[in-house]
Amino acid sequence: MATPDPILSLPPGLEAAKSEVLPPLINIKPINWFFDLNRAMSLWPVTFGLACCAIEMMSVSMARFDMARFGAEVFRPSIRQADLMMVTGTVTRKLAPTVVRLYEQMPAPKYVMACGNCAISGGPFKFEGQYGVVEGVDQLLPVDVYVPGCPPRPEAILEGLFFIQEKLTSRRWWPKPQELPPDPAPAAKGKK
Amino acid sequence: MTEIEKLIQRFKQAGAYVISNHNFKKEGLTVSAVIDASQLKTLAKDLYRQGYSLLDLSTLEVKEGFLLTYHFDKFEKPGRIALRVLLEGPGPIAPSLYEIFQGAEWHERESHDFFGVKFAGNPNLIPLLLPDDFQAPPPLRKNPESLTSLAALKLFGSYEILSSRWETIINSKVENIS
Repeated sequence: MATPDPILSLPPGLEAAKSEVLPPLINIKPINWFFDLNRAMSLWPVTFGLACCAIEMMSVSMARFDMARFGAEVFRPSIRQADLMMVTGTVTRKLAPTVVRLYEQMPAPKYVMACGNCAISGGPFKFEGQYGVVEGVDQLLPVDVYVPGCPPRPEAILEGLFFIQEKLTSRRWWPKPQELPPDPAPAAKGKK
Repeated sequence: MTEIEKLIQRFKQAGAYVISNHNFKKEGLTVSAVIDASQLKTLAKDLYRQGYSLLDLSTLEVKEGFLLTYHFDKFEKPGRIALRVLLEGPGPIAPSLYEIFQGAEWHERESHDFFGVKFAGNPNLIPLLLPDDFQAPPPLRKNPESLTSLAALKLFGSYEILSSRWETIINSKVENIS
């Protein structure tokens, strides 16, 4: 798991999550692999949206994109029953202590997906003199996968889920999407 | 006498400094008046009796101080009016409208959050939008050099000035805004 970056400074009054994931008690490789496989195929995300990226999270759980096909089926309203936290949206300075607290309440093993540019770096709200936004949720929580986009497409969120599954089981379980045809050459910049 | 003329008369009676007529279709306002902070509560009470409700309270930091704008409107027909109060000096304090319009409490808390304007009589002047433990000075306070003067804002429509102090404020030379 990534550790919070000590170089980036948090706004005064905020603290990063303190909980850490302990190594398993019985450390036998095949057994761990078996448990991890089971975990990877039934990740339970928490119903937790902070801003517009949450709309894409809803979309990805609905019939068209259907996250349930890949195991992340049950959105849990309580963080104590979930093991995947999708930080979908802007983490404001005011809500940050709550986000940290939620993360600390989540039973291990736990995974964090930073969805969208706001959760990754502050996104459009990062400017000199801003007072209300935490510039990147990785200052507060250890983030496992970053899904860029503003907001990310549902397919991107699915890919983020596949990354977490890959992280757990060290292989990709789903076919790779078809490559898009290469972009046409960008038009030469003309003078206005 | 129309309703608007009655209002203007009432504002004059309360010692308004500037009374402006606005083009409603263009500016969304019918009448606005700059009044003294001490008259704010009595005028608001009058407006409440006439069926007006408080729409919002906006704060603007200008060279002269803090300009609070209270918008009022009726539900029955369009006719938004504005009361403006200029708070001068370092520690801006305005009377709270909480006793007349309960919703004003939140508007005032917001204004207190971002500009540090205090409201005498607000029972719960704690941060509304900012975190409780916010430590920095009010975040929307500007650098004194980058403030604009009231005259540059062209807020007043076609106005009638009833105070010499405001004559100098409104007719002062507008510097170029860079």
